[in-house]
Amino acid sequence: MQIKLKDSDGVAICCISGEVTIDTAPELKKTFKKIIDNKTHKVLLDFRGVNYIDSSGLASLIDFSRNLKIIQGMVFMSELSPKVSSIFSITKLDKIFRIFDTEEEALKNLYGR
Amino acid sequence: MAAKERKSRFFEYEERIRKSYIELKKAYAEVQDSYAEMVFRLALVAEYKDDSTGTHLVRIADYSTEIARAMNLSAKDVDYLKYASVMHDIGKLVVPDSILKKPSGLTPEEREVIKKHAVLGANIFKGSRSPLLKVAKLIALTHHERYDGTGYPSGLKGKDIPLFGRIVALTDVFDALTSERPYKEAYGFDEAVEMIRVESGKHFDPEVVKVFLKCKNKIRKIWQATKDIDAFVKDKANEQRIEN
Ligand SMILES: [Fe+2]
Ligand SMILES: [Fe+2]
Repeated sequence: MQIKLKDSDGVAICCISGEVTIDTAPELKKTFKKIIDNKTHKVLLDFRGVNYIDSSGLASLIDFSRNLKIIQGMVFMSELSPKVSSIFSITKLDKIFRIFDTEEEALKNLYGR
Repeated sequence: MAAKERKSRFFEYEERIRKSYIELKKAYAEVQDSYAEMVFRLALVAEYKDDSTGTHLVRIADYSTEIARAMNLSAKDVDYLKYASVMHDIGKLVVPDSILKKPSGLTPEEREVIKKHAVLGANIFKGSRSPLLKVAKLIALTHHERYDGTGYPSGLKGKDIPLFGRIVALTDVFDALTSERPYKEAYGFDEAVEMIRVESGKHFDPEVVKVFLKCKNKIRKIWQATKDIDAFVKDKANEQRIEN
């Protein structure tokens, strides 16, 4: 798994690629902690390069969205592959997380808040 | 044709081939991705039929993957197991709801009908030449066999049961033990692990049990992670109910 973090007008864009699993999720958690510590309130997770996510990966997203909520922040997600989006659907997380088809759409919604 | 021109034309072809190779690879990855998506979505339909949840599927895949890795299966086999294990109960698609959803008091005849889901599932994949679907067929057919030969549908014994089936037999039962059902509470993690341990050599392959116990910490992490997911989904559903 690889993570690239960039800032776009106050939105932290986190580009994740590879497999988000029990072995790699701790690293993702570290990045999430960094974002929270920076007091960034708007976060976009770009899933374009992610080809698999397991239960530990999903749990780390939940943890992150909870922590963001405490500081009144929010996280959006975009560009899920069909496989990854089906994993979100079978766990019903697709109905809870704010997921957008494109990064553009997600950003437009984030800037407006 | 000048040598220089020939050379540049060669590079042009090479570039074109490289590009189409990349495109082909991308298209292939897309097909693989959609294929995996279908696996998950189809398997979920089967689980809905007996009120199992989607996290059950994610857990079976994660537990099985962890055990397979620890048993040093090849990366390919681990991957086949990951997706094929999700379809272990696909045969339930063809079992009538009136029986599957019956809350209690199944007659012996009805119990036999439910047991048919193993063969029915295998039949769905019969004749497929896809390596993944061949594994799916094995798992659907043998995930209710028991190591001591008292399982169904064939009463296979010991190593006559394919390894994939022996792994999913354990992960499926472990997950059932740790899951709440309308008719029963969930066992705690350690209690369920202990129940698996005492079935070593009886219900389960001793080797698979050994590896399962060795991976206990990771198994616990997976168990905890999916508990978090279920709790989160439940909380949110309640919040929405209050808002509306
Ligand atoms: Fe089954
Ligand atoms: Fe099952």
